Amino acid sequence: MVRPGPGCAVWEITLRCNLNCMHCGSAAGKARSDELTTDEALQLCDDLKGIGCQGVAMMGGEPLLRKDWPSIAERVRKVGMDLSIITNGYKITETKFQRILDVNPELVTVSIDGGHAAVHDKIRGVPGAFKQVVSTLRRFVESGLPTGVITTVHKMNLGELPSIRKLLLGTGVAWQIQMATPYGRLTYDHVLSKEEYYSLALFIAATRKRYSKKELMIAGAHDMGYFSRVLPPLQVYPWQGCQAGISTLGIESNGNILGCLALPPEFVEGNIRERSLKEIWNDDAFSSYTRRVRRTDLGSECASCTYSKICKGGCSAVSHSMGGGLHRDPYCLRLIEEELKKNNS
Amino acid sequence: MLLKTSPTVGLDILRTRGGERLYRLVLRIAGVPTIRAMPSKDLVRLGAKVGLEASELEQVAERRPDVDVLPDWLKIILAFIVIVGSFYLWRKMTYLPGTLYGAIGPRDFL
Repeated sequence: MVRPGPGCAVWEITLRCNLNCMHCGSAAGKARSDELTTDEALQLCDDLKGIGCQGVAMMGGEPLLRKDWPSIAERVRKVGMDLSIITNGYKITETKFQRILDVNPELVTVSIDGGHAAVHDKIRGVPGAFKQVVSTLRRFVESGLPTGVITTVHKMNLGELPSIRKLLLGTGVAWQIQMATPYGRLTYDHVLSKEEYYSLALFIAATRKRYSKKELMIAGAHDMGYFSRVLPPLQVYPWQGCQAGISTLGIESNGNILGCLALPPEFVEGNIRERSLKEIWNDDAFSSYTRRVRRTDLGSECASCTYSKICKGGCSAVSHSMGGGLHRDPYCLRLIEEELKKNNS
Repeated sequence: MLLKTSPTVGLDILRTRGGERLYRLVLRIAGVPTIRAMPSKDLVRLGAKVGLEASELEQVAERRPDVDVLPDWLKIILAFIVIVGSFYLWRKMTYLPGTLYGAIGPRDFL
């Protein structure tokens, strides 16, 4: 049986970035010395289609700093895959804006991490970033492009959520909220505590309840869950376990392949310069940590959970960075609820 | 496993994909009793960190359906929803949870 292709390949087309975000998981800044050439990148588009990939999320670094990004974007569209572009919204010139319109992606997403310039700029490491991203967001929305916003939450911006919500209300954007993990530049002391994480979940749930989809579409990302006894589902679709290497695929700008781009370098399982993408993807050993999860792989709390076979221990990136191994995500709503209950008794 | 998990998972699928109105209607028809799973004081404390008022929290942390006492007919329907839902999600790979990393857009809410 042929393995189905990933629904979405998240592709860091360059590590180069013009911001210096404190939570950047890949510590982006300078381009990698060995980034894929234009020809290699275009071939990779064909190869992604060849394994049955349905969509590409183009990100960085800042993807629009790579000079040939329009060619890559056009090839993604040409071979029939969905295209989304994730940008920091900084220094989007009129020319770049027009190129985005020309490419006509299924989705363009900007990152907003504060509801005020002082917070966003501090997190993003560059004064004036907030003003520019708000302006970019407005241009995308006014142009009629389907637009998303990503907010990555840590201790510095947890309290900013109401202000960001105010900024986004009525704009028609989809707001994706995710937790920052301690990879790249983010240090452990900025990671949300479990209780703060629960507050974040409450915020998502309350916002969903209070506002219609017409007013604001909001959802938790892959690291917001799971199977709460108290809160309604936070994600767009019910959680079915980490999808790294199953329905998602991570690509680094030098052709390194891993199950999910949120995972650190030790999860790189091949490079397209050494083995074809098809060979890597169809390798039985690829992403075995999600493709073949055994009960014995689960942490003790996850193993004893009713939902262990579906959940498989939550988000691999959070589990690995905060739980000391895979399949034991400590940032689990159900688990936190149990801990709160114990503390109360 | 399916019998143990399908009530909650099925209700989640019903709620996220079928809509809030249908979800509530099914619970009402089935006469499912509800339970409160967290003390209000915890909710108020945690909600205050993100600017939520007590009234908002009451609405969010609603009384949940007690899945241990669902009528048999509803359990069967929910198991069916889980089986069909899993197949549908498997076929529609682009939007399985996890793939949405970096790609949640307005159309995902339709």
